[in-house]
Amino acid sequence: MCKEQDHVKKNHLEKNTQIEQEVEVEGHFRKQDPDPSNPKDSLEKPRRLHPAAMYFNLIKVIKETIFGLGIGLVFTLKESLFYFVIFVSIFLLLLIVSSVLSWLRFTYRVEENELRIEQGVFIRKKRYISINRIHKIDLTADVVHRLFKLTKVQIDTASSGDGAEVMLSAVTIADGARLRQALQSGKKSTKMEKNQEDTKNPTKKITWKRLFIAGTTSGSVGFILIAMLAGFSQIEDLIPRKIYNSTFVWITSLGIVFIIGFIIVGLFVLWLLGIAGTMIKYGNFTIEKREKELFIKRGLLETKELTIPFDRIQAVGIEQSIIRQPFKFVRIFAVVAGGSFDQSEPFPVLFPILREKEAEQFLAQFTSEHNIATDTDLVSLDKRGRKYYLFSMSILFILGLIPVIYFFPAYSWIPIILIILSLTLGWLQHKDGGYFISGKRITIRRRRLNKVTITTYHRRIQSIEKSQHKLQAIEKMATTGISLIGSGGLGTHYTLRHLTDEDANKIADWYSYRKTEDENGI
Amino acid sequence: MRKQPKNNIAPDAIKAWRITASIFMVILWLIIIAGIVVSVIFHFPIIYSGIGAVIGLVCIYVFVFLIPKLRYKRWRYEIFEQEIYIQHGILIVTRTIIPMIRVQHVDTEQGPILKKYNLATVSISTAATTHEIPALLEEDASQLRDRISTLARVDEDDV
Repeated sequence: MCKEQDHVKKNHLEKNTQIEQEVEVEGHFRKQDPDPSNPKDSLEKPRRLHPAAMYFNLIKVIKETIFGLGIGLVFTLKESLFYFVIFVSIFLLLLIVSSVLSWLRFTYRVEENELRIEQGVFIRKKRYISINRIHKIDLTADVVHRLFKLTKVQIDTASSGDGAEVMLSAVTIADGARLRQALQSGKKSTKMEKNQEDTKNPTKKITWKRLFIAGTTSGSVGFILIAMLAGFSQIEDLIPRKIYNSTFVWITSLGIVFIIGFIIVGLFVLWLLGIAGTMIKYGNFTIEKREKELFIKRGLLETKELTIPFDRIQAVGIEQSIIRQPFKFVRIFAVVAGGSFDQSEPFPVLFPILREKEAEQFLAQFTSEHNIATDTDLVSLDKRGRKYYLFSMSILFILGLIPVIYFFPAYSWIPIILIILSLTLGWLQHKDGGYFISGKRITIRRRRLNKVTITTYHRRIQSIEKSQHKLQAIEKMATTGISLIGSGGLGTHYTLRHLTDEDANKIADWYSYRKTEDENGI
Repeated sequence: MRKQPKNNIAPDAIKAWRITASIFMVILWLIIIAGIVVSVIFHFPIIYSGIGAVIGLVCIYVFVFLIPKLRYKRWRYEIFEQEIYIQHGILIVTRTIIPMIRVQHVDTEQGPILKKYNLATVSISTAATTHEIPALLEEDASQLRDRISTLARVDEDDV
């Protein structure tokens, strides 16, 4: 029963023994009866990856070394073209040879309830992972993969750190599916009769219209803009001064109307790019509820299949970005323990876009135990807390206003607008904060920029803390934070600031196992 | 969470913290003295070094005398059958509850300064967080560690 606990415990205590490297395992593992109808038997023989893996390895090495080599290349190119060609061809030759060799050496097989990987050209490395320790198997296929009907397989255990425990860069889709089935059915849990389940399991697929709305409200314009500005400041030095100057002169000669038009068109293009990006990422998003896990499939160009076991879900959240707020759309995500830490998506998205009022039904259907309390149930923050929010949001801009008024009075409208915006945000933050306790479940809603509501269980919370600064103590206010396990074995913390001391104590007492005399306040 | 935890940490903690802070202060003062010497040699205005020295004095008072004392006063802990209760913080007082069943492991740690006073730091890790109780008497620390690790048994609940 306490298998999952073991995982995490292992993670900390016996990380090194979890993956037995270079260990000859005697055949004392429970060997399952060979079942001729089960295709997994064929996985017992060592198998190589699809030859396309060589290509992926090549690309990966080139990607990793391009910056370091780039400098060397530029220098040799300056010296002579001949050396440049020689240099590049030697490099490519070595790369190709090493790719071929490492492909030849890399084998995987499923044997005696273990996934066994052997690899390495000069240093042979064996990695045996017990099937019971495997948490997550993700299949991803990018454009090249799809061209050859291939898929990438990422296999994770509970151990922390970024990157997957095992990555098979290219196997055929059929092999990938078979491997996944073998690894999952090898667990003592119930077998996944996939083809049967497909028909009766609740599934939800994103519609094209919704996908489009998700794109239009994704707010990625800002991110792309920042990325481009950052990128531009990097390459600015590389652009020859002359071109830079003449372009600048040309733009300024166009006049203000053209420049504004230019910016508007530019922003529009960025917006379209953002829509395209979202649609590519979340196209065909399908979520399916299986007996013990959620299965998610998504992506237009790069398809990704995720499995999220229910017992790994620490909390479920609803996020409403500030852009989507007027349209009453939300996004559903989960906080999942263990697995590899994915920078682009630390919390797996359970559904990219839903109407606010559909969220509750969605959660009831797919994550039945994590129903989120509705707005009316929430205990909202006391109005004493408002001034702290207003102050902490706007203080920077108020301080900024003084020198601006002093030195550039003509521009003082900029900080004033920022102050008004930040005050509004502070006001919203206070208005949206709240919590709700029902049985063993707690719901916390808070806003930084986006409104996030998460719900979790008593047993999922790792620790809880209450903090008070001097003013809060005088006013009988407090700040409460809960800690959960996030992806990659990192903690993730949800803080609700400036609630009344009484509420903070209520949460603490709810969490505390000790029922003592200081209970009598309630 | 109304009452503060019962136990104080070892009073020698103040001394240990003062020594640590003093080491940093020595480094700071070396820089300040170097600044004064340089401004005398090169005839820079002495005022900046003067300001530096004043700040240095204030730092000595704050970091060596004031903060360790306040920190000691605030630092409290209490171990219950089923949870650990910690309080710390000078300006912002934080109280933390860590249930025993969430504890993954407990470490004790001792640097040279703590060793001098027979003190040790106990850190308690859950799957998401790490909490430290600094500067307990060595035997208290190891006792505490053993006690927590016996109490922190594996629970039926999954993580």
